[in-house]
Amino acid sequence: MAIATGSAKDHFIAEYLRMEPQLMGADVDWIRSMRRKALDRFNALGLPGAKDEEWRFTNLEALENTVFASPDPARTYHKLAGDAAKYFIPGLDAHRFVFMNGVYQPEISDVGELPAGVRLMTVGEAIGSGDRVFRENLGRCAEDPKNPFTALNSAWLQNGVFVHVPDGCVIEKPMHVVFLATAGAQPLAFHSRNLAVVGRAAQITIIGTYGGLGEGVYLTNGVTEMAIGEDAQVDHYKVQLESPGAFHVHSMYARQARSSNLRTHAFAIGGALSRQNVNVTLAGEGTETVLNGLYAISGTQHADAHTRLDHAVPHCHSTELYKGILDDHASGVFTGRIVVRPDAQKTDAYQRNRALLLSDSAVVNAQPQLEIFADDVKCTHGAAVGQLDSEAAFYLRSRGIGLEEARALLTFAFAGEVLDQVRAEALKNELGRIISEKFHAHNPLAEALI
Amino acid sequence: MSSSTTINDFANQQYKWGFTTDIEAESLAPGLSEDTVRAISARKGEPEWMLEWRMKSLRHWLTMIEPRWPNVKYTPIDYQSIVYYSAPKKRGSGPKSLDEVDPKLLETYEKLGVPIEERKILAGVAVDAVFDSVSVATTFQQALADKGVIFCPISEAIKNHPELVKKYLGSVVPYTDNYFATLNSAVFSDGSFCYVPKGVRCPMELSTYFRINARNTGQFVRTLIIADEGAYVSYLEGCTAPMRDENQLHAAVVELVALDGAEIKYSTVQNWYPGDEEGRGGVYNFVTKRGACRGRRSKISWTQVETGSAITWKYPSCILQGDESVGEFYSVALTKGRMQADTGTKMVHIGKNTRSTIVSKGISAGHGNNTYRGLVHVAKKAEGARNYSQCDSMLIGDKCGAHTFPYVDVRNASAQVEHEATTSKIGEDQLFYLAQRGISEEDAVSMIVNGFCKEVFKELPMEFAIEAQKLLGVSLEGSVG
Repeated sequence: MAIATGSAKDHFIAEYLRMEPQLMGADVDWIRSMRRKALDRFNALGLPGAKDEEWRFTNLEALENTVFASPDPARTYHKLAGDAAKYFIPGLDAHRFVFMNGVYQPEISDVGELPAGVRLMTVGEAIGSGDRVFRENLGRCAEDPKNPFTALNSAWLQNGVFVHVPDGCVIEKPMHVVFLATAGAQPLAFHSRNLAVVGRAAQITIIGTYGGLGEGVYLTNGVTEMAIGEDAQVDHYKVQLESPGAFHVHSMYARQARSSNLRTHAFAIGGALSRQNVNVTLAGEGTETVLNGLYAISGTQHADAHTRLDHAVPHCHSTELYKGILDDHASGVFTGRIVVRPDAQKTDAYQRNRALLLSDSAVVNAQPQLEIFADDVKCTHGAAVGQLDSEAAFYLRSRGIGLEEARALLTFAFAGEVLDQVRAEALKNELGRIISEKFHAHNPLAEALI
Repeated sequence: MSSSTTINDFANQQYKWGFTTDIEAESLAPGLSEDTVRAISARKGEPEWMLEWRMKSLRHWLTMIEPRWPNVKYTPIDYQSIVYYSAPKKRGSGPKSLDEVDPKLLETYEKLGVPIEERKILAGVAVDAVFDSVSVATTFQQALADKGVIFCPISEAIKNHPELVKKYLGSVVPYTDNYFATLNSAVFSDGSFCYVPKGVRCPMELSTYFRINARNTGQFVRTLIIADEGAYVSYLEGCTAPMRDENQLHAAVVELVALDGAEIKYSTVQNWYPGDEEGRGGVYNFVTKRGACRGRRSKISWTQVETGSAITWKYPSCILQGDESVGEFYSVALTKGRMQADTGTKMVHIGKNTRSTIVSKGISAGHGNNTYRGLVHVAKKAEGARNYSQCDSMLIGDKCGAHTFPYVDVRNASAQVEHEATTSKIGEDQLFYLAQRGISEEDAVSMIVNGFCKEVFKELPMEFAIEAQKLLGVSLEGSVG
């Protein structure tokens, strides 16, 4: 691995400037000016340090000491098509988009039939076609002036998916977007961008999978934006299964209009270091939000989850459940902020955070935060960190189940509370399989529980 | 309901302790330099080692930057315009007993209700009263001395018990600890010192009363309490200040040390001048309080009722080093007008089977902003650590804010850490119920608020609990609807 001599920020900027002319839409004026503005912001912000409160518990030294290049645009990935299939969810009938190192792979994608009026395309196509809805909405939800990774992503604006669901349209099948990365000796960086614009009373289910092929080191820096219209319903799942050496930073930004319903779930299982930001703005009255998450990590993995629910208007309801399972030397961070703006009366916000420590060497930092500026609200948060319930383990052992198995079973049950809320059945089963494998629950009982 | 008028009245309640005492004071010129520190040390007649420690602190302080992370806003403090030492001028050679204390001073304390006189003996409280910067009188010295308890101004302790002061001063809050603690280490003027010997249960509750009187003075108080093996002491502190347009700085340091089986209970009722409705004036209460449970089965309990100060910024903490040691933190913080509070605690679990409890009640009224910020840290070796935290906020009116920022940092799998927080307001149905029973709205509010704070008040010694309830009632008059 190459060791950086200049600052990491300079390397990112230099690499961007080298590639800029080749980026999609390099000749489109509004895209170019947007990119330059974002690059300036990234330049002003720099990479976050340990003194940065938002990054206090996540040490980015390893990331800063790595020089990331961009993937060779001429490279083809036909040979990897077979390996990619392991990230497809068995039994899931979906509109599937596959990207390899940021390049769309039509051969292994399966877009299928879409209801009339739905526009579903890659971001590259959207830029090329000059789509009005795309142009109006790009970067609107992801207004996050203090996040350098989002700024860097906005500068690159690389491939991803743009979907526009027109008013009243229901997409029955889930949309599955798979981002796969494969790096060799040279560490690579990818900046994928997704944008969903969901019209009035429209419905969609989006599953985003992030995975890696091989052992190479790479950085995934993704941004997903969702503009959710009145009365719309969105189910969103993000599944992070990166390679063991990967860095993963992803920010999700959603803005909900009146009476809309958003259920978003984030699963962090892979990667050496991962950071998940979930930002939801409840911008219309009567919205409902379910924000769930689970990180299940072992070895020396580090998972950081930052969630922010911004209750900007009255009469909104949010429920948050974030859980963590940590084994070996893993370290986890949870920062969950609920903001209730002045006048956002009758807000009902509930947040719960639980972490399960399976080893004495694992570390958890939890910061549930409430910021409340209105008086007629109901806001509750609870955080707890603990080990497996010894009485429950004893009960299982008294029924003839060995200690290891009991441990695996209880660990799986701990994750079950989050998995149970996954509505896409095939995804739920697949996640259950991955988690029980990770924590060695190879017994029929655990499988029966799925 | 006329609740909004009541709320307003409540929020506009005047500060009742805002008188000044016309007393001649002997002060240093404003400003901070090595000469200031030398002058303070010389006036106190301190030994060389103490001066060295102060100088070390000052030099370190000059390299530090004022922290900006708390959730409070204030105009920058000009450290050169503060008077670092102000003492009531002595008549003759200084008081030998209470009779010789300036009667005007005693009058001040009487107004404040401090039981400084002998006739108050029934209250059973020994008081070390700190007026601006020096301890004025210490009562009950004899009764305490019989038990072997040392309770005196820290300036006397430096002279008479240097071995204890040397051993423990700065051992819990080192001079390098933080910006305000370092400043205090350099310029602290006085404070209380208490040493309870092995196996002694301190026969009465000890108390300090702080009052800032002179203009432009900062009060830099240093308190050091040591409970030797098996000892018990309960310590109370109360604070007031006159009404001034400018802001006054109070940067105190409190260090507690509990050895094997010892218990220290530290209670504070803080009612510094909070500034007027527009937020002019008021005291900046930037205090470092920390206790070390050094011994096995030792216990430190902090109880605080914070009803004053323009800004309260403090985190009374417990370092649970000894196995099976216990830390407790009970707090009520009230912010109204333009007051701001960023307060909470730190519980650092190091020993095995250590336990801690945190109960924090924040009440925001008017334009007040109340922040709970706390840390529960369980070190890798802290087998069987247990923590329970509860942070409740109550909002009165729609212009105030309540914030909760708990930090949980766990490095041991056997730890059990729980945190809960709720936010609520005084329910219309609750008020209606009480009104129905013939209770006036104001009384009803006071009753609900007191009920909200009950868990904390029950931890306070009797007299303080009553005072705290009254304070809260007065502070909240006219706030609720």
